[in-house]
Amino acid sequence: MKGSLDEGLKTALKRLIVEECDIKVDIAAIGDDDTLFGSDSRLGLDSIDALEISIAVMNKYNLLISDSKELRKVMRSINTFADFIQPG
Amino acid sequence: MTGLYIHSVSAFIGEALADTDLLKEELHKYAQENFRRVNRFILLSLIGARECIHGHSIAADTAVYLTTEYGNLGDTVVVLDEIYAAHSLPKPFHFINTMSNTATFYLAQNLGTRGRNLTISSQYLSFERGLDLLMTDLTAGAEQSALIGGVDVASLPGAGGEERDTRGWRMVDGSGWFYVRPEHEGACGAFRENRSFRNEAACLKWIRERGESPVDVVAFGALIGGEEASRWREALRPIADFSYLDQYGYCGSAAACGIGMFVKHFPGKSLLHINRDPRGNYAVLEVEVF
Repeated sequence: MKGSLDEGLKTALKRLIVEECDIKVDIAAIGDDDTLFGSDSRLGLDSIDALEISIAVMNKYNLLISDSKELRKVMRSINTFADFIQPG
Repeated sequence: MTGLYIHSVSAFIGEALADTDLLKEELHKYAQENFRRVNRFILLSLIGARECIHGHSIAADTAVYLTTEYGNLGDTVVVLDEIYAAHSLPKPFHFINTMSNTATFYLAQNLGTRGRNLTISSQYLSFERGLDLLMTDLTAGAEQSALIGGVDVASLPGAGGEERDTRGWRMVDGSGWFYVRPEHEGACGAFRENRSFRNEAACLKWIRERGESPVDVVAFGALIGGEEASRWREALRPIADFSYLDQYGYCGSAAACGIGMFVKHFPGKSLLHINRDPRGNYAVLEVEVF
């Protein structure tokens, strides 16, 4: 099953982001297609958050995202992030 | 030493190992921002500094002098444990927070200051040495106003979380700050003396030769034992002792916090604070409260 169709995985990723980035946001308020990074996004994550999340992903899912361009693409939204973790 | 006037003061004493969410609540009394990626040491620095300048408008070129015994050592221990014990990568923000000047970066960012920004540590005499440096900078005209504080976390992760140190003092988190300017007008106190001595004899000689009015209150740093304190009392004959370590507890920045408490609670009095380091160097600080 593709990650974007796996509600459990998407909830786990939202929780991971909130916990790792120390954000005071209810995970239910994060939309699956919401933009995660930049000043226009609701969460407003930045490059240090990206690094934080990528290390957490490596520790939890044993997946390495070493290229910063790929990182931006993968972490565009919860759906793209979930598809990276679980391509299906 | 003249011209170092205290325009406001704060002294925050927190319970050792208290939840950082409680520290964030305390900080929200003075600042509404949501602080992310901050550790206990940074939160303590922000609480003390924000409380100190609460109700004051400070100039953009205000300098920040943060003095500390241990600094961000808590995060350093966590990061080293991650690398060498767990053989994994540390959290990036933990790693960033191990840098000694991170707390003053957060302070400058939050206060909107662009002045000099320093972290100073000198075993057991950090606050006195920082004040020395600040006085030099003010005299040279390099600074017009500054925030100087002493900040330390109570105990280190993995140290057992002891509630008391070996001398029986309760271990606490501490953050004591002073907003200082060269102008007397509007000040609530002043640092009158900040002297350093190579040994006890030289310090005693200076005290005996001062020939000034008697000191109201005397206080001692953590390494001055009971017998030695008695010798100083005999030489100074103060009206009272201010045993801030017994009253408020001990942390690496207890001197800054204790002096801050004195300025807050003893209007019209003067304090002579005698401190020493393990090598026998002495520092004497005199504070007058208006």
